[in-house]
Amino acid sequence: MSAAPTPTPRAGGTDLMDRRRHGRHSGPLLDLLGVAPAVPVEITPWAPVLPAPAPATPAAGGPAGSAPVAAAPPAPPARMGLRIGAGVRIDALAHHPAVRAGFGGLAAAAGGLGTPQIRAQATVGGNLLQEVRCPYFREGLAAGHTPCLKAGGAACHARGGDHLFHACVDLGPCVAPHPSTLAAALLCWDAEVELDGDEVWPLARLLGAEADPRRTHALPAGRLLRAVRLPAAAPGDRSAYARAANRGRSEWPLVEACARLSVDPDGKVRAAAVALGGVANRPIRLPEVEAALVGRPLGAGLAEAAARADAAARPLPMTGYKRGLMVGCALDALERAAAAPPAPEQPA
Amino acid sequence: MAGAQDGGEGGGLSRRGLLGRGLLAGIGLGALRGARGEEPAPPPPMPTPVPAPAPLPGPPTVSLEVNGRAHEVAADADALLLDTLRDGLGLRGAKRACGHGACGACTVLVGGSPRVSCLLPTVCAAPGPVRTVESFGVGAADGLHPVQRAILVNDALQCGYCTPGFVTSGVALYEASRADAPPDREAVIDALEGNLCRCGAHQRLVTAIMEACAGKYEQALPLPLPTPRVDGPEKVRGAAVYTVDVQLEGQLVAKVLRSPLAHGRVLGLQRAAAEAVPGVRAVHVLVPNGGLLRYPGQEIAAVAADSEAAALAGLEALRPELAPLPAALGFAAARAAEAPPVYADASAATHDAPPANEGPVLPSKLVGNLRGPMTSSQFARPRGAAERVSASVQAGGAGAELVASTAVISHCALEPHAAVARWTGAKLEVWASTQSVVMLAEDLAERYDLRRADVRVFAPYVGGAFGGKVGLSPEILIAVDLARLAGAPVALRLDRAEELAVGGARPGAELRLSLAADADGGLAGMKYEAYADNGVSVGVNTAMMLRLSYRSPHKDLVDFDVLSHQPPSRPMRAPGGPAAYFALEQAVDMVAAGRAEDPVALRRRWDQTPARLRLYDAVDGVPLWRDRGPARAGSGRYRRGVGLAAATWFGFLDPASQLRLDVGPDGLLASTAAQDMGNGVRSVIAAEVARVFGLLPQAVRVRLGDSDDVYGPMAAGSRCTASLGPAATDAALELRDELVAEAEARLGLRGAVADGDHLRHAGGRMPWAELFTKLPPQTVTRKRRRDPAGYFLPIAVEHSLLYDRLPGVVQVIAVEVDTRLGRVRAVESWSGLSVGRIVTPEMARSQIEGGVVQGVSAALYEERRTDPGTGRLLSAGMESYRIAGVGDAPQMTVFFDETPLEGVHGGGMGLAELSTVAVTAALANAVAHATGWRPLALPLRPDRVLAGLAAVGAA
Repeated sequence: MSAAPTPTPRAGGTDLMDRRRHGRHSGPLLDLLGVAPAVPVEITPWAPVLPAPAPATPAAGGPAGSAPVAAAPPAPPARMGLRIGAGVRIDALAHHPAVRAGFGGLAAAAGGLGTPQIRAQATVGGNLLQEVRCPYFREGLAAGHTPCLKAGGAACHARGGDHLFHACVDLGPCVAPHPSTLAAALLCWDAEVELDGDEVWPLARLLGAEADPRRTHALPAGRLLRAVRLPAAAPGDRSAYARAANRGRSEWPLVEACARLSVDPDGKVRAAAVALGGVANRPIRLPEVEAALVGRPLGAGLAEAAARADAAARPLPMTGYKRGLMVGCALDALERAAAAPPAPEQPA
Repeated sequence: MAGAQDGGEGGGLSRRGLLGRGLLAGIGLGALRGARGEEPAPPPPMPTPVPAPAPLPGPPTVSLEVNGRAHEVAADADALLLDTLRDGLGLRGAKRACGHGACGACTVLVGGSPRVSCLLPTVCAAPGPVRTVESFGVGAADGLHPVQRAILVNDALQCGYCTPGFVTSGVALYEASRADAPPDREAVIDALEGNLCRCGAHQRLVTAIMEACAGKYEQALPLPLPTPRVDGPEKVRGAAVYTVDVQLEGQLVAKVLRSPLAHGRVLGLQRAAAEAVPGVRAVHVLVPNGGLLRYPGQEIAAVAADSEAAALAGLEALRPELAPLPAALGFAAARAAEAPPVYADASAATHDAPPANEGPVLPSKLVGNLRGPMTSSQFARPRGAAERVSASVQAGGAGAELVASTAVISHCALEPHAAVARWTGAKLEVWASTQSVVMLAEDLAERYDLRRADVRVFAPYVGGAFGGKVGLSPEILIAVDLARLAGAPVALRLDRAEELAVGGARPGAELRLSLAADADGGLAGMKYEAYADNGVSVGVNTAMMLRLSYRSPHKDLVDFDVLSHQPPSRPMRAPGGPAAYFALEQAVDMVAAGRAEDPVALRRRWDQTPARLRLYDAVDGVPLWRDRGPARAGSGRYRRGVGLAAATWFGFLDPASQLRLDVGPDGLLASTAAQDMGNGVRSVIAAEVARVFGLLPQAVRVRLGDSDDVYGPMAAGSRCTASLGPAATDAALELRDELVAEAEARLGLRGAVADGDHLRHAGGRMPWAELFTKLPPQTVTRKRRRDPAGYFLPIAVEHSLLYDRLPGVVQVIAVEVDTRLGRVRAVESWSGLSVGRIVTPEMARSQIEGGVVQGVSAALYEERRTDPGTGRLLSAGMESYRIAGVGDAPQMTVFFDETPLEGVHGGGMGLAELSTVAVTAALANAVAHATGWRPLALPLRPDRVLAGLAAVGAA
C-alpha cells in the first residue's frame, strides 16, 4: 500500500457503509454527491442513438453474459436516447417520466429493488458497482471465516458450502449472483457506460469479471463511472421486469428477468432482448429465447421461447431449482412486456 | 437450586412455576459453566480501574439541520447519521435494529424522503434538513401527527421498537400523497416495505397509514387519548426509553470476543495487549486458557472502553489462540455414531447444558449426541401404540404416517439483548431488555452475593422478547462484571449478527408421527418421536402437545434432543407447540382425507376439549372455511386452498403476583415489578383498575419494569393477564371501598356509594378525580388470589378434570400458491380462540394477529442457515434472516368464544402462545388443499414448493 491510497468514490453509500461496518472495506473515501456533485445527477436526452437491439442469435451470444454489442449501424439522428447520471437516485430513475414511458422494464426494475429508503439514497452508479451479497463475503469476517475469494482469499466458500441462493449458471470461480438489478435490465438495451475522460464502454465490459475473478466490476481504481447511456426507445418497444422471490417485497431476488420486445408495425417481433439476474456472477442475456421470439406475432410463442431460458444453466448441487425459476421468470417478463404499453412516438 | 428460590404458596407451584430452574441455571450460568466444564467462576475481584486516557482530538464537524434547528456535529467520513442523532444530539427515537438497512427502525426523513440512517453517512446527509420522529406532531393540540394518531387508534403497535420507523415512513407517504388521491392498500404496502415489525402489527399498520393518508386523522384526538394501549403515545412519539437508549454518566461501551469455532479450546489471549489499547478500561476473560468452546459465537472475553472503536480495537488486540476440535454439525451428522460428543456423559448433558425449554430438565439417557427418550407422561410409555396403528391400517382404517421437519428459527426481537450495569459501592443497578426483572434481580443477588435489597433491575420498555429474554443471560453478566472491573457503568448491546447467532433460537425438529382411525372412526392410537435440533441445549418437550389433544390411552409419545456444536436454543413463544401441531394437525387431515371425511367432523369426534368443540361449531359457519370448495380444484397458475388446524395450550399464572395501587392528587398509579415487552400487560392493568372506577384506561398510570416494586410475574408462559388482571381488580375494588368509607368519615358525605366514574352521596355526586384530591393519599396492595377451583396445572391431563378447562384455538388459513415461481402467500386468516373472558379485546386481537404473522413467517420464510463445514452462521443479518414484511401478512379476523372460565378469577387466561401454535399446520393443510402436495418441511421456500408441485404433477 502506498502512503496515500486511492480514495474510493462514495455516492449513496448504502453498500459501501455496510461493507465498511463489516470490515470488508477500508481506506479513504471521496464523496461524489456533495454541494458540487462530481458525477451527473440528472437524466437528460442524449444523442446519437443506437437502434433497437440487433436480432440475437445463439451463435453470436458467445459465453453467456457477454451480450452482443453491435457496432452502431447508421441510426436515424432525430431520436434521442437517455443519459442517466451515475449520481441519479434509484427512485428518481424509477419515477422519471421518460424512463417510464420508453423503458418500462428499467423503471420497474428500479422500483422493485431494495426498499423505499434504499431507493431514495442509493444511486445508479452505486447499484452497478456494488458488491455481492454472499454471506461468506458479507458476514464472513464477523463469523470468523477465512476470507473468501472476493475478500482476498484463495477460494469461494459458497461453492463447497451453503449455496442455496447462489448461481445456477456457474461461470466460476465466484458463485455469488451479481447483485445489480439495474445491470440485468440495462443489458436489454445494450446500454453503454461513460467513464471519466469521456471513455465509453459497453455495459457488459463493466460487469464482466473476466479480467479479475475477485472483482464484481471492471472499473479500474481511481476511475469514475459518470453515466449510463441508453439508446432511444423505438416506437413499439415494450419492456417489463419480473422477479422470483419468497417474500413479496424487499427481498433479493432468487431470479430476476427483464424483457424488451421491439415490434414492427405489422405486429411481429422485430427484435427481442431478455436478460436474467440472480443466476450467475454477472447478468446474462438469453440468446436462445430471443431468437425464438423474432418474427413471431407479439404475444405468440412466449412459453415456448421461455422454455429455453435455462439453456445456459449449469447448476450447483443446491441450485437446480433455479432452472425452473429462470424459465418462469423469463416467461413472466415476456408476458408482461407483451402486455405493456408501447414506447411513445417521440416528437421529431 | 431452584428450590431455594421457591417462595410461592401454591403448593408445588413455585413463584417461578414451571419456568423455574431451567431459566435460572441455564441460559446464563449454565452456558458459562458449560464453557468451563466446572462450577460457575466466581465474579471477578474488584481491581484497580485502568485510568482513562486523555481524549483524542475529535473528528471534524459538519453543519446539519435537524428538526428545524441548526447543529454543528462532529462526524468523520464513517460516522453514521443514526449515531450522530442518538449519541451526538440525544435524539433516540430512531432505533438501530438490523444495522444494515433492512428493517427501517432507524428511518428518518432527509429533505422529505425516508432514509435508513444506519447506512447514511452523516456527511452525506449534511446539510439536511433532517427530520426525526421527535419532530412529528409538535405544535398540534395533542402533540401528534395524523400518522401517529392513526397508529394509536388502530393499535398498530406492540413492543413499539419498530414504531418510530413506521411512523416516519408513514409520514413520508402522507406528505408525498397529499397532492394526489389517497394511496390504496398496495401503495401503502409499497411505501412500508422497508420497515419490519416482529410483533406482527402488519395489518393494522397498513390500515392506519391508509386512513391517515385519506385524511381521517386531521383533527387532534381528545384527551385522554382513545387508544387501548396506554403506553402507545410514548411509543409513537419515540419517547419510550428502551435499554438500548439508556445513557448513564460516564457509561462505557462493551464488546464481546466470540468463538469462531464450533468446537475447540482456548490456548491463550493477549490480555495485556488489549488492556494497553487507548480507551480500553477493562478486559474480562470468560473462558480461561484450556477452556472449552462448544459453539460458534460463544463468549470468550469482553472489553469495556470509552468508545465502540476503542472496544473493537481492544478485541482485535486480544488475538486469541484457539485449537479447533472435531465438531458435531448438522442435524443428521450430529446423530451419527462417529460424531464428536458434545457432552461427556448423561449427567453433564443434564446438569451442564442450558435448557431449551421452560421447566425442569429431567435426567435422561445419552447415547452419543442423542438424549432421550423423554416421555411427556409421568406414567410408563404405553405398550403397543404403534402396533395398534398398523393393525388399524391393515384392517382398512385410515392412517397417516409422516416425517415432518421444521427449521431452527430465531426470536429476532428488534431490540437486541442489551444491558447497562452500574455499581455504586456494593449496590448494583442493571437496566436490561428482559422479560423477568424480579427473577433477574434475585439471580444477580445470588451470583454476586449481594443483599436482594442492594440489587435493582429496570426494564421500563422492552423491544420484543418472545421468550428469548428470560433470566441471567450472558450479556447481563458481562456488563455487570465489566462495570465492576472498570469502576464505571458499562453498556453491552448485541449487534444483529450476535443477536441472530446467540440471542435465542427455537430448535428445529424432525417429527415422526403415525396415527390411525379405528373401525368406528375413533382414534386407534398414536406413535410419535420428535428429534430436536437443539445445539448445546437440552430438554425440548413437544410431545406434551399431542397428549393435550385428542384423548386416547394409546399414545406413545417421546422427545429426543439431538446435541450439536451450535448455540443453545431458548424457549420461544409456545415452546414445542408449533412443531408438534405441524405434524399432528397434518396427520389428522390426512386421516380425514383417507376417510373422505370433513376435517372438522373428524376432529369433533376425536376431541373432548369443550373449548375446542365450541370453536368447531363456530368455524362451521365461517365463510372462509365453509365455502372453501373441494381440494385441488384449481388448474391455473395460482391455486387457492384453505386449511384448518386446532390446538390447545396451557393456562399459566403466577400466584405470588401482586399489584400496588396508589391514589393521591395525581390520580391512580398502579405498580408491580412486571414488564411489558409488547404483550400489553401495562394496559391490561390500567383497564382492570379503570373498569372498577368507571374511567378510561388512560386515566390510570402504570409503572412497570422496576424490581423494587411489589412482586410481579415474568412475562413468559402467557401468564401476565391471568396473574395481574385479578390482582388489579381486587386492589381497585378494595381501594374504591376504602375511598367510599373515607369520603363518609372524613368528608362527611352521607350515604356515599360508588357509581360509575363518580361517588354518589346524599348531597349529590363527586367525580373520583375530585375525591382523589380531597382525601389523603392511600395505598392498597393485593395479591393474585387463589382460584376457587385451585391452581390450574395440566399435569396428568388425561386423568384429570382439568382437561376440560384447557383453552383452545381453531385456526383457518387461506393460501395462494404460485405454481410458476413456487411462491406461497397467506391471503386470509380466521383465528377462533376460547380462553374465557377477554380483558382488552382490541389488544388481544393485536396479539393474536401477531401470533398469526409470526406463524406465517415461520412457515414461509424463516430459517437459520449455517455453513455446513464450520457451523458458522450465514443468516447473520435481517436481509438473510427473513421475517414477514407488511405485504406478507394475510387479512386477519379474530373470533372469541367468551364462554367464561369457571372457577378462575378474572374469568380468562393468556392467549399469546395459543395464538401462534396452530398457524404453520393450518397453512400446510391449506397448501395441501390447494395443490395436493403435502408440505412436510418448513419453511416453504420456492425450491421446496416447486419440487413438491412437480412430485404431484401440479407444477
